[in-house]
Amino acid sequence: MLTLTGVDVHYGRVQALFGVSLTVQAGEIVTLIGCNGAGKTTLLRTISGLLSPSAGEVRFEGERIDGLRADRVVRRGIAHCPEGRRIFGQLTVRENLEMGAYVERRRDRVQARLERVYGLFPRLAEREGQPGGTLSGGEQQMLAIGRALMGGPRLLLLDEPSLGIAPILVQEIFAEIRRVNAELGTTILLVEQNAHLALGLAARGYVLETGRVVLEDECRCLREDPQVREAYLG
Amino acid sequence: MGGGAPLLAIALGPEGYWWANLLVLVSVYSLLGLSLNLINGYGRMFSLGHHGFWALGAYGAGWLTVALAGTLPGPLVFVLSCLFAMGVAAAGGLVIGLPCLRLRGDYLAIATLGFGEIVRIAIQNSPRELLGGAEGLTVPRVLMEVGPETRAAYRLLFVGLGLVLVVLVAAAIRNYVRSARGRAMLATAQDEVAAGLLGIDPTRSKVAAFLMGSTLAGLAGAVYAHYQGNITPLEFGFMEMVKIFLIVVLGGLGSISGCVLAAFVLLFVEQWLGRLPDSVGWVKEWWQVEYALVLVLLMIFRPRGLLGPRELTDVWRAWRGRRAAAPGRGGGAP
Repeated sequence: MLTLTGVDVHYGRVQALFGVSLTVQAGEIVTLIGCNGAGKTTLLRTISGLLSPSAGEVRFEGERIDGLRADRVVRRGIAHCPEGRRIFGQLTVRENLEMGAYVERRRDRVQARLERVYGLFPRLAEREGQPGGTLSGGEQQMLAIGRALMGGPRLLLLDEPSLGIAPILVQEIFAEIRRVNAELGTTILLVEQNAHLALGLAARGYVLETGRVVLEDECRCLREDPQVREAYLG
Repeated sequence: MGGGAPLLAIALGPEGYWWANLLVLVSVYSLLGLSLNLINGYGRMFSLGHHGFWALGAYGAGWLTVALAGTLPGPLVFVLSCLFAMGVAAAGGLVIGLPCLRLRGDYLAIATLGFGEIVRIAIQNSPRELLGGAEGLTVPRVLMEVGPETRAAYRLLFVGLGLVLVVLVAAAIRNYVRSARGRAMLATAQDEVAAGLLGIDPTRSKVAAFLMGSTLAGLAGAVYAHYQGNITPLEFGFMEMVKIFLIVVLGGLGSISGCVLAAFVLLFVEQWLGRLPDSVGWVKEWWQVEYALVLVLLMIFRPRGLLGPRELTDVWRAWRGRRAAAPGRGGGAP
């Protein structure tokens, strides 16, 4: 479904990614783990079109999407739920969700997706009319995921959904991510610092270190890998 | 109308005359405030070039009216000149908007401020046959003859016209803000990256806000030019920009009704100051300082405007709600 081959990304003159290759099959949950500054977010931003690679290519369902602007990539069926959530604080929960379906012109589909998101996250339905900025961190994360789902994506890019959220809510959110994958059939590429959680959820994983893929395997193998245990699972 | 006009003037009286003038100016400044609100309030782009778009509209309308007067029916000339004014201002908005919207905050403010001044100075130094230069441009009265007897009727005509335009524009802005594209504009203003990730083209959204704002300023210019009958470049100076900005801030960034109310308050005070006796003339002479002071105080104490993004109806409802919740007969709230 998604293939990256030999992707280099530069910020100005500083190179952040070095020949990254990665594949995600339809229906999978794939995770990308690594330390701060390893290039995880950069990789997601490259896929969603916020950055463009200086070398290599990104293909989605066979077609090249590198160099497309972010608002074009969304229309291909990739939703990026960005780091730090970035919800619209002054719009209500419902308005935030409706913005997520901006590319969808059919009212009935928007309505159906809205109900589905409320089904996944009943808390959002309760807070429908509240400004997004007044939600707690965990609720904002739910809203961000819900908003990304409103576009009806086939591939969902999740950037650090556990960041700054109470542990109890993290469990809930990860359970919902699993449901999104199982029930909606949405393919998920998950970036996560919390390797325990990520390797527990995903089927396959990539380990990124200073802009390079250093390991790639099924998650149950990665969990046993001595290097991974040492560096990420403590 | 001819026979009734002198009667109208008598019925209006000097007081009514003063009020009619005030209301026309209020509607012109309301249009300016509402249009700047699109850019600065909803769009959160800090533009200081609105007097430039206003001038483009006024001079655009004036120029076309001079060119067409007498060849076509008056009302048609009026409508055409309004459309032309909007077109000219929109073109100005596009010219300044496309390169400048890459700039942020202070830089955008400086660039747009430069634009406003360029427009004024260019008009001031234009050939006299074209735009009247520094002496000003006389705009032929195309809607009706204006003599001593019909001046009152002319003012009343513009009171009605201005009122209709303000209501129409306010309704249009309200609808736009609630539409998908309008929401996209609000979302872009809050977080450009997030908006882009949802499929909104942030540049397009910003340019749209800027274009609509400048177009409506052009309309305000056309109405102003036709009402005054004579316009000079000096009327479109930077202090006018300060005034428009003050209206937007007073009324609340992103509040439609607040904007109209603020235009009324500001112009009422200004016109009323004009009638003060000379003994307190200093109040009038120091108006630039006073406006600046009000603006500074507002920015310190109410940075989002007196009302904020709320509408008057919201404030009214909140106030009623508080009163209803307040203890009625000495009992505490539940």
